[in-house]
Order: sequence, then C-alpha cells, then structure tokens
Amino acid sequence: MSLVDELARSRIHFFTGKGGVGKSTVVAAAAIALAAQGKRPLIVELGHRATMSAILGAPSIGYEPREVAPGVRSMNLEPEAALREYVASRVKIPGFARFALASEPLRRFFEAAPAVNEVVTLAKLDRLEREQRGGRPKHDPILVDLDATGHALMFFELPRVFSGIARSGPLAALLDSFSALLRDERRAKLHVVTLPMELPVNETLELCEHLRPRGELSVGKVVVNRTPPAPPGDTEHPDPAERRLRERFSSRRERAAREIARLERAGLDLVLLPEVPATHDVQTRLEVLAASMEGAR
Amino acid sequence: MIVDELLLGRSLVVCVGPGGVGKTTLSAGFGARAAKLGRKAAVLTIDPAKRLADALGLDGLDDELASVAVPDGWSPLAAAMLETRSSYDALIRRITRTPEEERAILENVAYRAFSRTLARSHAYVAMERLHHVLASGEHDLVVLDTPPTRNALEILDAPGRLARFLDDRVVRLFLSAGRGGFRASSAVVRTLSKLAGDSTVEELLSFFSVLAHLREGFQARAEAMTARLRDPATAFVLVAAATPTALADAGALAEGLAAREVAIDLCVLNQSYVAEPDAPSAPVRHTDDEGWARRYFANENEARLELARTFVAGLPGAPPARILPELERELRDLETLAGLLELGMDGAG
Repeated sequence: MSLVDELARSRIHFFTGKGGVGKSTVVAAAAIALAAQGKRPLIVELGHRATMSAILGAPSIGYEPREVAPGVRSMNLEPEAALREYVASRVKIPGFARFALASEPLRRFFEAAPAVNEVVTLAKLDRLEREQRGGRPKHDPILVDLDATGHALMFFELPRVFSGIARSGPLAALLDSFSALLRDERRAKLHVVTLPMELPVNETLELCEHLRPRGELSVGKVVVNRTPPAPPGDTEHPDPAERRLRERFSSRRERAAREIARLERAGLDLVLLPEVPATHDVQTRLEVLAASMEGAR
Repeated sequence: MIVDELLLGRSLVVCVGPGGVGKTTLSAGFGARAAKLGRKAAVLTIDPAKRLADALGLDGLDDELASVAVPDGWSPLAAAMLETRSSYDALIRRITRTPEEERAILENVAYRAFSRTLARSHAYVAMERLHHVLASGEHDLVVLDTPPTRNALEILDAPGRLARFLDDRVVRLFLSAGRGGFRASSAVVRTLSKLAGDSTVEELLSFFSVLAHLREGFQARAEAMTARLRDPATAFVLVAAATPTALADAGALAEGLAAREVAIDLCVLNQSYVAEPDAPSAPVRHTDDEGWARRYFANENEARLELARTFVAGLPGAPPARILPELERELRDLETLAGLLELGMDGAG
C-alpha cells in the first residue's frame, strides 16, 4: 500500500525519527499528497518550532489551525496555549478558571512540574481527534510531527509514568483515553522516518524492536528519506579527481542499499523517498516528495 | 584559530542546536582538542552514540565520568553520558541529609515517575549534574552536549523555574507547615485537584513536601547555574547543518538565546559541503573540464554553502563561524576528533 493510502486509513498519525532525518519535510509532503486526494489533513507541530513555517513558506504558524497550502492546515501545539485550554475545559466555573490562570503560585507550579507540557499536549490531541464538523471529523487525518525518537517514546510512555500517581480523576481519564487511542490501529499509527545510513537505521531498528513486543501502538511505515539516486553515467574518466567523485557517488548509493537491506531483513514496511537536490527550491522539493508518496513504494 | 581561543580561555562550553547535526561528535571534538592543547577536560554527553564511545576508546559511556585513554603528551580527558534516572538518584543521595529523607524521596511514587525521561526532568538533572562536575574543580574545561530536545532553551530555564517554585512563599501556598511537617492547603490545591484529580495531587504534594526541606540547596545551585551560564567564562556554541530545516530550528534557537541575553560565541555548520578528494577543506567547485560527478557535487555545494553563509550573516551579534564539510569516513580516533575543526573554513561572519 502506498504511504498516502495508508495515511488515509487511520485518523491520527505520529511521525518520529532521529533528529535531522527530514521528518518535518516528510510530514509536510504527506499532507500535500493527502490534500490532493481530497482529504482534510492537519499538521500538528509540537511547541515553539519554526520548522513548518520554513518548510511550507508560510508566515508564523500558531495555535489556531490555518491553511498553509491548498487543503492543508497546520498548527503549532504551544504548551502555554494548550494549558489555558485544558484549564478552561476542566474548570467549568469561570471565576475559578480565571483564578487558576492568574494565580502566580499556580503559574510557577505549571512552569516547574515536569509532565505538564506532555499532559496538556495529549489533551489537545485528544480533543482535535474528536472535533467534528458537519457530521464528520473536522481534521482527517491528523499528522503529528513528534520530536526525536527519545522524546517520542517518552510521550508514549506517559500513561505508564503516571500509572502510579494518577489512579482516578480527570488526568487518569485522559491517559486512559490516550492509551485506548494508541491501541486502536484504525485510529492511530506511528511511522518512523529514517535515512539509509548506519546510525539512523540502528536507531530505527531499536525503536521498532522496543515497540513491537508491547503491542500498544502499531508501527505503520518506515519512511527511508534521501535515498541517493543511481549514478547518471559510468565510473570511468581521465581526470582522477572526477573519477574519485564518481566513486564517491556510487559508494553512497551502495552504502544506502546495504542499510535498506537491513531494514528489509527486519520485516519493516518501507517507503523509499528520493534525495532531492539542494538546488531545488522548497516548493519543488515538496512536490517531488509528495509525488513519490503515491507510488506503491 | 577561534576555537582554540575558546578552549583555552573558557571553562565551560555549551553546545546547543537541533537534533541530528553532529552536536555530540563536535562536543567530543572540543574535548579531545582541549586535552591535546593541555587542558584537563570533561565531556558530558546525552546521546549514547556507540560510535562516539568507540572513538573515545571506551566500552560504553555511563553515568559516571570515565577517563579516556589519550595519546602521550595530552592532558587527561574524561567523558560521561547522562542517564536521567541514575543522575537523579545520585543527586538525591548527595543532597539529602538523613537516610530517612533519602528513602522518603527515592520511594515516592511521584519522584519515581518524574525521574524517568520527561523532557523537563532531563533538563533539571542535566543542570544539577553539570553543577556537580563544575563544583568538583577537577577540570579546566567542561563541555556540555545539551539534551536531544529541539528546545535546548529548556536547559537555560530549568534551574530558575524550579527555584521560583520552591520559593518559600510559593511552596507555602501548596503546603502549610504544621506539626510533623507540611500539609496540603488552600485554593491552589483545590484548583489543582480539579485539573489533575485528588490522588495525583496527593502524591505530588507528598513529593514536594520532602523536596521543600531541601529547597535552600536547590535555590543556591539554581542561582549558581543561572549565573554560571551567563558568566564570561562560559561559551555557547550553536551547531547546525546546512539544510533548510536544521537552519530554521537553529535560527529559532539563536533568537531564544538572544532573548535570554546569552551570546553565541561560535557557530559551527556541519555537513555544509562535499570536499575535493585531495583537499579535505576545499569544497568541490565547477572547473573547465568537468564530468557529471563534479557538476553534481559543485551544484550541491553551491546551494548548501549559500544557505550556510546566509544563515551566518543573519545571526544576532555576528559571531565567528566555522563551516565544516560532510565527513566521508567514520571518526576512528581521538587525533581525528581533535582535528575536526581544522577541516572546515571560516564563515564570513
């Protein structure tokens, strides 16, 4: 199944991968490909980053989803705004909610307590997934651009982290609901973006190994970004420098093939995306990637 | 070279930057170079990259500082990897005054949850760990490779935040001092209960009530670290790679640092070009008699170097910059690591 078809089947998709593998670019291209098929994708970026606006060439993306490309909406899930929304939704008495948000000690508590950002982020994702308009989901699908692998794991571990301290009450209910979402593969999937290089592949294999036995969250696609192109000509040339550059070009491709083979041996469902030359502008780059997501592989 | 000036003149080098740009390798490179220059150095890293442990000649890195076997004539070099849980437990053992206090924290449910790798917990403990290493006074130079969160600014904000919360007047609103210690109180606690549930708040408060006894220590260390990070003896190195997304992240980070009045002392842009086969510092450029490979790499280099130079030109405070090539080989030894920064070229600041 192509990446786009797979993304069209579940409601919420989490994307993770080692830093620098091009995760955000892949997410943006996927959203463009989905919109081209008539879906209503929403890109969710987690807190205070400038990545999506740089990739999509859109001016600052805030907490309110806005259209950043035809049919594609994007938002930045800023923890402060999510906290305000969380408080307002929990505390129904307006005076009390105002107190909660204006209280200096509480503000200091929210700033200092370790899991506040993660919890309010979950609450917002939960809410976005439920939002309806005209009898159908308002955002479909939701593409969440997570931080690097470690941070993503920490996020999925949250229900476990809290299992000892949130036994009942609103937080426990939220975490239960999130766990149920993660376990239901019609609703949620995790995709891993990687590069055909040794370290990113190691990390990808470790992550999949780590998640597989838990059976909580199903791993969908492993997206191999920046697969080097085949050499456009042969390796012979009178100039030794040119010859060595050609060897270099070919050896990149060979190294990549070896890494891809390791992923295949692990039985992962791969999507190969081409390396887009740095000379292409951002728009062309996204179009090339979006187009290659529609193919079977 | 500007890098040597920093390594010789400063006592703390903090490497910040987006993920996947070679921050950990560079941190090790700074450590190796400092040791070569005769400075007793320690590298605190977050990412347990096996390759790095290999390059440093260690079986693996763990939470304790381990000596690295260095070539003759170098000063000692030590390295440690930050592991959140063991760093926390070590911290609690250091700062508690009685075995009862220690047990009360180590066995607290909320403590056990938070000492796992939550982003903020990570930032706190990194700062505490750094404080401990600096306070030992055993090193001329400490290099800190910041946590793999995109928001490296968390590191700067963490100590102050905890100190502000543990402030006597604030904690008192959460816990009222009574006979036999602190007890929950007041409207703020009722509000929290509405937000998180009674059982959660109860566990949290019992955690804070133990922590509150130690607040003076936390505040003193937080103040020390906040000051230390802004001390002239501390250098901040912004690390990025010449890709549009890494540069966008690095740019946001640079603005955040500027807003906190932290100056960037050096910017290092990794993976910025492919070098000539015979000259590891010279980018492949167009020449008269070119073949397809030269044309390909020359075009790539032109585009990437343009990105790198535009980024450097836009940095607040116009710091010096080094633009480094893509590394073709794995880093195999300390000598190569120590020479890493010599490979590149100066960025027009």
